[in-house]
Amino acid sequence: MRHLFQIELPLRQDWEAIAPLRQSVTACLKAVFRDHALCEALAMVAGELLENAVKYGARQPGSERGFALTVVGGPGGVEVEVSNPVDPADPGFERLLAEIARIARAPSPQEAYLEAMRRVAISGTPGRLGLARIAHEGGCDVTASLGTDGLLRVRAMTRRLTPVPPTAAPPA
Amino acid sequence: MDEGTSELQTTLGLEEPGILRLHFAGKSASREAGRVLAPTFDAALSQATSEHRSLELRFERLEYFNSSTISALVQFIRAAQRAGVPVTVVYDAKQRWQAMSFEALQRAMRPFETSGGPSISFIEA
Repeated sequence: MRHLFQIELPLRQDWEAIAPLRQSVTACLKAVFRDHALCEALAMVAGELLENAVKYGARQPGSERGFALTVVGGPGGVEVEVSNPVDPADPGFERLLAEIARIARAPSPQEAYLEAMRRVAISGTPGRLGLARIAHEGGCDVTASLGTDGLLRVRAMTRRLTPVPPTAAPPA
Repeated sequence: MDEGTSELQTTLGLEEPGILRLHFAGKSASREAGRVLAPTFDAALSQATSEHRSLELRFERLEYFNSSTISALVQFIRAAQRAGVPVTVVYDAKQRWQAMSFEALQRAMRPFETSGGPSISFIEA
């Protein structure tokens, strides 16, 4: 696929690293797309994926190997990918896969998100709304894969994005 | 949304009789938004209950919130409802992210409204 742009940034497993990365994504996308609301939606997508990686990524003392954010824009849309090491025996890994499957089975991304919020309202406990929010508010399909390198890669790909050419550079 | 690094600010206002306003500004991206917001939410709900006021939650100056904040907000609205306190949510629909977030929240809360119970209303600023 021909890339219109690509952003690759390493991630520290540190909550304080998330906001600067999210803001960097917003700034880069605003340099490419005129639709600033789209840029903000994709930055939210990146933020939610980064939060999951920092929360649930496997801790590796002294090493941040495998924690990364990649945003790729191509003719078909924009893909946001966040990778992190994972322990496949961690129940959080199974919950993430189950949540992605639940969103895919739902009648629509919006219904998946509303159901997740209603679960929070009924249970009174904090819920994992992030992936369903990405699907609905971010307009993205969410997938995940576990590589042979032990890295979990969670990807959000825009569904309804009309390809927009990059902003033309000003005349020299 | 999302320019700069402004922290979340919340302020309580008693400008109008019968209404307790809770203003949100800046960004809410805490890992544990429920724990961070609990003192503010507890104080607001306690005051609204004891003074028989309705709650007005104003988000027009909010720049960003994460899903942890949305989760905390859902629980707060339910708590207010159980306490018999009517809630009005005011947001800026001209900002697309606010329109998406609060329209979804409104739809999610609709099944919890009961006839004769405290109202939950959403208003575009």
